[in-house]
Amino acid sequence: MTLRLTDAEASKFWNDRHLRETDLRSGGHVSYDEATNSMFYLRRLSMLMDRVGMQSNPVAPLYLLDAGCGKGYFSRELAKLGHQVDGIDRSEAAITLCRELGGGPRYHQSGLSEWRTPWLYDVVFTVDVLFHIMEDAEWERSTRNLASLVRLGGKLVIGDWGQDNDHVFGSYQICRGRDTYLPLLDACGMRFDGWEPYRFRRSPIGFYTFTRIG
Amino acid sequence: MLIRELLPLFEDVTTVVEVSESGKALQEQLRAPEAAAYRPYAPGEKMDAGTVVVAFVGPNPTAHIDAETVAPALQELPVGGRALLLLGWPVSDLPYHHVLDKLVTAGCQVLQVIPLDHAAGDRAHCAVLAARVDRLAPLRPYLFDEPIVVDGDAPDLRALLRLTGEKVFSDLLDRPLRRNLAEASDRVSEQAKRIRELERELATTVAQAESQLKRARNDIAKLQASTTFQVGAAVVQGARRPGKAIVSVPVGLVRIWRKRGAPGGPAKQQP
Repeated sequence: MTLRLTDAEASKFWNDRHLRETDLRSGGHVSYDEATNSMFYLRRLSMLMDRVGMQSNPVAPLYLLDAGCGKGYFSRELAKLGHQVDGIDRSEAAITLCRELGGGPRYHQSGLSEWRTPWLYDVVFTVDVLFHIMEDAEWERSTRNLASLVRLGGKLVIGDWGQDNDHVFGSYQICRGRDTYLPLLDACGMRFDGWEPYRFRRSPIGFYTFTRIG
Repeated sequence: MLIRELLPLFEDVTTVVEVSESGKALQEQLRAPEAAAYRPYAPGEKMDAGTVVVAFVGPNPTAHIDAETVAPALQELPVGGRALLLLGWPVSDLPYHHVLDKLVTAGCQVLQVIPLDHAAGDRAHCAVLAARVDRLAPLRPYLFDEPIVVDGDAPDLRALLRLTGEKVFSDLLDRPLRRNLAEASDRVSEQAKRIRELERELATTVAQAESQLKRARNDIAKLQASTTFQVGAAVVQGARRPGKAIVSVPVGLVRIWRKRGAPGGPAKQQP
């Protein structure tokens, strides 16, 4: 049986990784070099843009939540498009770096299950973060909390694999599949719009997209 | 969103009826499909479900009509008919109550309100997309740009519960924000008033200082031109260089005596 990292161990692991690794490798794929990670980030950014939409307005912008923002690549890039972005991450090192880099988003040190705000979001997205939450109860709290932050008609975008079942990879990754996500989020008032793979190298991961309908 | 992106959000448009009298301006900005007829509003002229009522509505009588003027056209829309109202107020200061009154009275559902890019002069800052309905049309997310479906599935009870819940909570949250905004606005006005007062005080102080400076410069000029000063200066110069004083002091005094009464020469001593 593979030993899973506890929630606290995972937090420490990611904080150390953000301190140790380069900007893209720390939050991207650690096996890829910087150039490959650049492609990987651009690919996912482009897919996020499809889901957020191609409209923005500086007077009345869209509000987005980047849940598990790491060093803030997606937050900054989406802020450049005119959106108001909140980035949250549990890693102090990552949030410190995000704030130093600036670029428009507002950053907060928070776990996914803990983030509280009086404002709902047009789009909440979490890119390749939920499958690093090893404790099922914390994963469920996080997923439910993110869903609750989506306004009526808004979208929840989750990066995870598209198989039906769940699968554990090593000590720090557990991919959950449709059989886990769909019933949980249906009960939260979210309609499943589809799952689209990244189509990047051999990655089995892609984006689930849900819309709040109730 | 651009004005030309708005009309394509409505499908199956057969007629565009303009209530405002913009000449060709609105028609050109909308880029209405050639297949659709474009005509001015005439009271009583039949409209069908393919009709879209369009108008510039806003505060400037030379560029806009008011909400009362567009109301009859809205009321003549049949179920399925749609309206596209381009509002001339800035989004941050939008008095939407008038327009909303007229739309609701006419049985129209507001489907979407979209801020416009590059607000067309001050003629249009946002667009209201509405439809005459006999049951709720599907809800649309903010800035959504897929075509509007008016006769799709109506929101179910869960969606309505969510909608009313979000409305009630956001209504609560709006209140402290509105109060903060009003207080901040008052503070800004007060500070602007104080800044204007300080600017006036500063201008008076600067004017007084300039006047004093001018007087002081005049006094210095008079002093330097006086015989007393010039004789004193010649003597002091001599005292500094005693070797040359035997010549320079008398020569200086003679020069002062020769220039007496000439412009720039030593001034006559006041009695």
